Amino acid sequence: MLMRLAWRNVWRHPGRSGIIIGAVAIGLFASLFLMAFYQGMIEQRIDSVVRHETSHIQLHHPDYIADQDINFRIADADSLVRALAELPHVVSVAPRVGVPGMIQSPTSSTGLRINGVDPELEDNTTGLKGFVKEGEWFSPERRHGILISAKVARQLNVQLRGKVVLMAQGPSGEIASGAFRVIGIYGTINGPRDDANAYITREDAAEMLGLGDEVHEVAILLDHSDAVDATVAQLRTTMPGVLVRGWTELSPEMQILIGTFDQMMFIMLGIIFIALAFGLVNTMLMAVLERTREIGMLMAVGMGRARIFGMVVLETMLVVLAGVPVGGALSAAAIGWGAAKGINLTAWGETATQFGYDPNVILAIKPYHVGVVLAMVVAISLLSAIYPAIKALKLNAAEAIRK
Amino acid sequence: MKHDPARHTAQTHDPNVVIDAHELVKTYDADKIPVHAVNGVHLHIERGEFVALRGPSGSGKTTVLNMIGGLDRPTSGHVSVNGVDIGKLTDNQLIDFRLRHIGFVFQSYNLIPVFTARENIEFTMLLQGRPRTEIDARVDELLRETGLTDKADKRPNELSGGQQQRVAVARALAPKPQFVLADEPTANLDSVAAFKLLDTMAKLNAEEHITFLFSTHDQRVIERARRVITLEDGKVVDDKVQ
Repeated sequence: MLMRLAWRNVWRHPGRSGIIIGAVAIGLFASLFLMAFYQGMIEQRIDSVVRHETSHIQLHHPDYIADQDINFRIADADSLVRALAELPHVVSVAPRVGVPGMIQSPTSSTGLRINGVDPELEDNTTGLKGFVKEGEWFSPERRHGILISAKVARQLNVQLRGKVVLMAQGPSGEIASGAFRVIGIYGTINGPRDDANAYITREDAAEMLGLGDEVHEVAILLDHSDAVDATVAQLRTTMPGVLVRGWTELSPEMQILIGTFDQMMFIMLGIIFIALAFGLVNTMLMAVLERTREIGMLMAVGMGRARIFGMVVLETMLVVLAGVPVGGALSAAAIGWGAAKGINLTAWGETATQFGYDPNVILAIKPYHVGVVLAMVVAISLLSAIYPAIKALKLNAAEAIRK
Repeated sequence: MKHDPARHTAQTHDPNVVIDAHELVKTYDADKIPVHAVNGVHLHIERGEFVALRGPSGSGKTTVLNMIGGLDRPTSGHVSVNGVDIGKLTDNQLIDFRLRHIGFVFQSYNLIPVFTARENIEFTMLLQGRPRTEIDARVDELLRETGLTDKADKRPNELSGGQQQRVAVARALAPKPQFVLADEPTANLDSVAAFKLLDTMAKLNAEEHITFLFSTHDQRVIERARRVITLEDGKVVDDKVQ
């Protein structure tokens, strides 16, 4: 009976109820869409970091992280790479020489990290070849080629096929240098990182720096992120003299990003739902106050306070819950579309790329987030009902009937 | 089992006495100047009576009804309904007491607009938690007696004023209360509708022995009442059986 009364009361003013249902639907849609947008951005960023930057695991000399000195190297690189490739879950392994250095053109110079890579292994591990925008990838026939970013090329005022000189400190403290030809301009979605790195072959790097079968870094790509912890633990046991770190240690900002995501979401949801709550309270208060005489009559004929309270709460819940399927359908359609096609942000400039994000955001949402949003919808409808319900309870039946 | 003050004290009073109001006073603090809306009213109404409470506007009729119905509390004095001093009940107990013992009919019908005539009539029985079969039988009976069987599924806005008021009377009578309080029940009705309503009330009073106490200044109602109590300036100035 209470449910029937509340449901019919909701539809007394279809226009007013429709506005609230619409507001709930839009609030729900906005919440879920925002969550899916940010979740998509973060998942893509993490995927990009793992797939194209850090890989799942990296090995270094224990002192290399604090001071990227050329002498903090890992020995017997080739045999190590072969051994690592045999481990379970390992997809590919990329050995790298990595030293801070200078790149110089006839007109300008800049500092960056010089990466000496094994072209095939590097491409298998980070997919770097796919990011060559102009020019070509390394080839065995053409020695002393270098890949730089477009911004570095502009800074140095060099074109494809242009000549540059790399300089870095050698193992004995001497300045080592070598002449290279720009064979390609590359660009990943992480612009700042691209501008801070140049790539040559490991063979050329070893020749320039006077190194043997030694590297500064070994990147390992696994078949799944879930295998990282076990593989890291295994490597730490078997390679006690090597610093072994998983991707969350290699990119702590990603950890912070994930950690703060929920907080950000709660703040945004809070803002959306507080706005919604004001609308709800206002509408329900109006519904109660315009029915003063009727509520007085209900009290007079014996409808108890608990039932009056329940009626107002039910009305609020029903009007909110009526908006949930509408908002849910809107969200499912928009998120489904965004998950298939992506939301392209390039129209808003290169901001996303400058911060290392893919400008085409593929939306993603977790069931947990949907649950949180729905729980908040229910909570906010309950909270919004309290004040109007208390107002209804405070009515004096005798006075209310006369209004 | 829920405590029922009426049942608890019923053995100590005359079972024929339904309403016993003693020295009722209601004073309103109008801008710090006390206004005595009701000033020392005594009422003694027995089972099955059909009583009109007459008087000019402002004489205190509605206030007396509100105090007897437990909608308002007297400034001083006592109201006993079926031997229960309703002044001693808490607000929640009063609501429950009204639900189980008192029927109300209001001047402006006050039906639930989103319910049909049938749903309005069964409303108080549903609040009482009566069985569905009993409710249906009682509602059918009342619809018949009020001549509203063919209007059972109409909402109040589809009914005339007289029909709405008959639905209100049926709602008040549905749970078979001890008595019905009707505040100016014919005030908004034309003569035909008023007489039809009075016929219905008189018939139910006779058949179901339910006590009726209604406030009115409508001569048509006064003429139909078997006892007329006259109020002036918050005091009973006349009480006669016709």
